[in-house]
Amino acid sequence: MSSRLRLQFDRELDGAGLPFVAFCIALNLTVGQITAALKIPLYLDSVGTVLAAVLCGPISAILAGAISNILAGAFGNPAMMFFVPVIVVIGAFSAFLAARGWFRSWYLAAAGGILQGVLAAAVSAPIAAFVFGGVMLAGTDILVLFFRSVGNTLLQSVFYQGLSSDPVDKTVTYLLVYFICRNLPLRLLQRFHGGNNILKPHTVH
Amino acid sequence: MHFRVPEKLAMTLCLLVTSLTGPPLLSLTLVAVVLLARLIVPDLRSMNKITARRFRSVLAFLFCGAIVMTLLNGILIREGLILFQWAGISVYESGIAFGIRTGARLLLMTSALLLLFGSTQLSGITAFLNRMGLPARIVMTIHLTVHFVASMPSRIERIYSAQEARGAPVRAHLVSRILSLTAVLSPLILSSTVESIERGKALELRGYNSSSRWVDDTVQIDSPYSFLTVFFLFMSIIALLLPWLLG
Repeated sequence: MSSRLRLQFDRELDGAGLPFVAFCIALNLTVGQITAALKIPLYLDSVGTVLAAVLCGPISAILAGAISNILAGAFGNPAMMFFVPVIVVIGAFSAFLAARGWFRSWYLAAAGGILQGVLAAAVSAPIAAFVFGGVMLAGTDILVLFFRSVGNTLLQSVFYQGLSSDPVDKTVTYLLVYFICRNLPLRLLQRFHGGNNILKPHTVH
Repeated sequence: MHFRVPEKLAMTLCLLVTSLTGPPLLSLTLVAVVLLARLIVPDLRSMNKITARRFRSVLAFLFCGAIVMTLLNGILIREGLILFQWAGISVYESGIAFGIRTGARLLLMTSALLLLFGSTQLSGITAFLNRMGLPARIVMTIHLTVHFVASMPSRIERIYSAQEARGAPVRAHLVSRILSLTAVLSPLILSSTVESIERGKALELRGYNSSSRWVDDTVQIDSPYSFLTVFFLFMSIIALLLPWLLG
């Protein structure tokens, strides 16, 4: 690990950072319980990754996403392990947007969510198509089959399926993270490396 | 024959590579071998009843799902010969072949990973990876995650019930339910943030959360070198190269 990367790694995981990243991973793994209780037809399985990206930084987000997907394999959803590159892109992109102040207003967060959804669909399509043949044994497989049956290639079908669900999912995820972070007390936000991603510059001391 | 963490990791790698590069018949044969090995090799048996039940239920679900998806592929991908027709519905050869290939691949991947995680303690895997160079902070993060995952369902249930009692629209229409997500997630994240700060302080005081502590030397781990580990790694390379060499 290069010294600069290790320095960033140490800074992000300092103090509350490390336990908070662990909580974000647990949130990714258990958020399905909340969406099931509220009967919401969304995954929201990257909410912890985006939260880590905003409050801690890019390395924490990538770490949270990668460990989430690997542990999802241990907890009974092995296919998730192959989507580690997708969650790495989600973490890095969220941190990039957060550092540029996209989580300081709701409309920028919503726009970021849409962009993130398109990016996630584009990155996950080759994995879903070439590793799993578009078959993930989930409800969305019907959409892939529908797009294939109307004459699209496998890769196109998987990408269109991703486009039909990911932008909505990621927009809701981004808005959720925006509203949750806005509600966090200032003294807690300032404990995190990325607290100024939410606060206006003059409020950070 | 002993299967410790290094052997199990090498075997899982070999099975994953074979699932991606091998023909469906080989994948299905290896699924049968995995199921048999789980019964006859003591080191590969499930650790407890929960992991055994998870292994059975996930594999049974995937098996049924693979059959349904193979049939749907056969019906919707209209290429190649018609295998059979029934009540005006035609089932095509290429769709069935595609469904069998992806179904067999998914079954082998899943059974290999379930075998690894069902028969091995997560702490054993992380201790081994730590000795192989995985930073101690990442190992600590994984262990803390397991703690949070265990406590999260009861926490979520408590907050959900409290918010429902306060009148949050948890049973209203879809948009209201999505909006009420913040009512459930905000207290969860707030309480976990406070807990994270306290845990961070506790870890720092104990010297765990320090950049100087890169490798945990206190944990005894297995040697990574054995005949089985080398055999499985060699077979992984063969499985990777063979399809390429055969064109």
